[in-house]
Amino acid sequence: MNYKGMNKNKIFNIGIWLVFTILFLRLFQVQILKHKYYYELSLKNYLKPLKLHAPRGDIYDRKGKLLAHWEPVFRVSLIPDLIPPEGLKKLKEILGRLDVDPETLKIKSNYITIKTGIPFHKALIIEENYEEFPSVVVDADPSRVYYPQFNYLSHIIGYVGEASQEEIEKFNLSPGDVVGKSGVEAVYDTILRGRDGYRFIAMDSKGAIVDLNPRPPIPPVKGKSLRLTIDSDLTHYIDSLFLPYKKGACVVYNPITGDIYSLYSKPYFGSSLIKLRWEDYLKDPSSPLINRTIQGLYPPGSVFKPISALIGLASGKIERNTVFYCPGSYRFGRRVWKCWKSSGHGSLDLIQAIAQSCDVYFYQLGLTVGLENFLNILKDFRLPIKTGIDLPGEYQVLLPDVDYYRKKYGDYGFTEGYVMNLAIGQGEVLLTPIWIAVVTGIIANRGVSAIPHLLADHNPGYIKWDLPREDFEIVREGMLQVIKGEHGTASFLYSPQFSFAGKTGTAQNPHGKDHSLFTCFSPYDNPQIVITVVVENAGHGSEAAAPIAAKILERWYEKK
Amino acid sequence: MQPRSLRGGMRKNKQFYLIGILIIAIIITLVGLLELSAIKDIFFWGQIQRLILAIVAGMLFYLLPFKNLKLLSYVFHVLILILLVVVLFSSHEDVKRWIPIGSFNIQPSEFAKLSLILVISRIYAEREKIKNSQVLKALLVTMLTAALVLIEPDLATSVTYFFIFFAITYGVGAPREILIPLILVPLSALFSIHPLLIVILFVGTFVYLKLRNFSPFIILINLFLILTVSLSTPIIWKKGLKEYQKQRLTAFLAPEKYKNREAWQIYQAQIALGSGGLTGKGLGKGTQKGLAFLPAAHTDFIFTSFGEEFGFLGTSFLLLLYSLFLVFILKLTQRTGRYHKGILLGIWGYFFYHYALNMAANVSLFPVAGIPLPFMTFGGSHIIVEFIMLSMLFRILKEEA
Repeated sequence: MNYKGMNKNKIFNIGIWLVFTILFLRLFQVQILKHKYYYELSLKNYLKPLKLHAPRGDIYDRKGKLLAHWEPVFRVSLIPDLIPPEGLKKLKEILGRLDVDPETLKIKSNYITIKTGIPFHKALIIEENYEEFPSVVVDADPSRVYYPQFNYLSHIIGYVGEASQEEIEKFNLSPGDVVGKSGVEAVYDTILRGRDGYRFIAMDSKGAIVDLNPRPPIPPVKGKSLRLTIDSDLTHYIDSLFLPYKKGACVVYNPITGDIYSLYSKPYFGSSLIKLRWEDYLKDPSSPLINRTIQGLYPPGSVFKPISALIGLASGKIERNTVFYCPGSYRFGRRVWKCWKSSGHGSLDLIQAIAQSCDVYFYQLGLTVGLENFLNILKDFRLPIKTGIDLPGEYQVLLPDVDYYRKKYGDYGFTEGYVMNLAIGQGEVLLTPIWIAVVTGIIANRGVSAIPHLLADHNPGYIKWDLPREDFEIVREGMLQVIKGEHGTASFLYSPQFSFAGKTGTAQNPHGKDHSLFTCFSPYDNPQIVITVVVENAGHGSEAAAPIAAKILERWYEKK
Repeated sequence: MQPRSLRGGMRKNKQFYLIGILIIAIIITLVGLLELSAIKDIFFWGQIQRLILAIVAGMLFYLLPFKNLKLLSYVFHVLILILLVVVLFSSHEDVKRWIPIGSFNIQPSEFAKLSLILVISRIYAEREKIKNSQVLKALLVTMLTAALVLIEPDLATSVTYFFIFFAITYGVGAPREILIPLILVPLSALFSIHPLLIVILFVGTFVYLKLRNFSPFIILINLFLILTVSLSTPIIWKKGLKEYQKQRLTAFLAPEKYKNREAWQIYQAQIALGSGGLTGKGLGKGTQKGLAFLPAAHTDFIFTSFGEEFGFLGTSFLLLLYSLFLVFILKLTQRTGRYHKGILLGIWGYFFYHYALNMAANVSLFPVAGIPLPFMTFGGSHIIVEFIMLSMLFRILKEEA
């Protein structure tokens, strides 16, 4: 009986220690082996990270003038999972349209900023009724600030906006993050953006906030500031020179360093107004959102003549002293081609032809070279179709070749006469102001010019044009005579104070008054600056564009 | 008759174990109070009130000789059974377990555990050699009690009665031929989760009975029992269980999958326990518990909530205390009369079942069943019962002297 009793106790004891062992091992597994895993989960359970956006880097002009800054604004963030539908409805009533609708998100268990830039009184309303909005946090968020007085720089500076789905995936962002959408804001976005930080918020399982700072935040790192090559004062002056005109563009740049002093496009928008007036800008027939310096494709008109001259020289059929006679018009086939000066220029050599922009001379130059030859030489020049400026959306210029003509007119649809139009810059050629400026720089510097850029202290390289130095000197001299020569098309701009050379142009515009073009460089011997001006619907190149360029140059020398 | 010195030595040993039991009970109670104080002050003060009640109840029972208890055991149990019927008419909507008295809720099913122990022990004390009829009588009383509690519904508690019944019946040495089918019933129900397990049980039972030279009739009956129970269990599972009971089971079987719904509780409990690590987060610093991620921190999951703050060192220490507590109670059963032995085994069964099931649920080795952890879980009824049981241990030793 006793023995039996002992035996039974033994089984009970085995039961006790068996249970002990199982529980002990299980506790060891959960509390020791998987401790880290569960610890992380427990942190996630009550610590919710809230992204702290880094302020974007400032943007300065070349003289250190502040063009874009940041300021704190109120933002509202919440965890979508924890907000009851009534709470969300009420929030929408207070805030109006949300930047990010939490209902559209896939991940709803993390903090998301639903609206930025709310006024103080709305922030107060939300804070006062915090019990209705579990998890809601109202705090400061850095917001981009642009200055309306620099609106004429908006094409360069660009603007920021909420990251699209595409950008979110590309840059690993969250909904509600801000990225540069155009201008240098877009090009140098990764530099300006900085590194976002986090703060942590401890909350209980129902979303009530128990601690706003349970763990030291990871501070955001402000983005690097940018200094631009832009001279805002000069651009402001240019803006005033454009006052009489509705549309146009102007490039002022240094062909040696590539620094762009001014990149002006009229009409312009306001970076600070972009969100507010987006629809207006889109609807505006004068297209203020288009940056005409890099996106305006113009027929160059006579501005193309220096290139034609170089083609003639390169063909070997034209020399400095090649003389053609201009009676005011030229008969080719059954058609009479007029010179812009109906009384005629008389006998001209190449230099005078450029100086006086004689159309008849260039008709004959083109015919002497021959259409196919002309096009092939232009192609052999290997001029870039884009300048490579550090702005998004630069358009390619159109430099036609034989294939282009064949495609457009059919194999036999074009005649030798087409070269005449081409030689005076009408017809097929379409150029952007920035491209004209760069090519002017190449001619000015006898075969090389820096790639234009907006970021200061930065050298992206050079564009070269491999031609004999003498050829450039001939064209340069022609361009000098435009100003200096007795009969130069812009001789009225001659100033003894500084030497400059240029070329006027009048682009025929089928839709209205001709566009006025002018491109120039200065000083003549050792060119430091290139100015290209396009004024839309302003008539002859010497009338609108050239005086503007001269004034800019004048000022440039004054300030120097 | 044992030599006098030996009996005296035995008694001294038992005194030692009894003091050990008392110390452990006090430590665990204090740990429970400490943890409750870290959860909410009202739980701490509420538990103090209940403890005072429990200690008073324990003292009163110490004054009561078992001779009288033996006589009154049926009366007690019938009274409890009446209360169990009364409970069913209470105003609680889903679960009818409590009778409100003042600010307290009395849970008769807890007290039934005590009275059942007394009744069963008395039944087995009726004769020198235990007969099958006595076992059946005890089983009937157990089934009646369990049935009333099952209606509440409270599956886990009704199973407690059976476990206590088994512990006593097996411990006092009931005939094997009646024990075997009694064990086979729960085993078949448990093994019904997989057909292969049923086959193993079926074959195993057959071989065992054959080797032990049981008559073909008994073998047949047992095998029939296995089939009936294992085949009917899934049907009972489908029809009989309440929705919340099913949820607890599915949650237990796949906690990660249902972590946002049914398994929220056990998933969060795992996080709480695991995040405690070796040394824990410190008293009152449990984030899972403190920030209400861990539900029922003061009741079902008080062990987890303790584990979050005291870590593996704390939990394994507690585990050891409970195990020693149970071992010591077993030591008391040596060389006692049948009646006392029955009571001791019943008490042991009570503590073993509660501790094992509650802990298993806390470490996600068993579905959450709502079984209180002895001396720790917030609540009056079970604490009173446990203190009465403690006092009974002392009374038994006193009466043996």
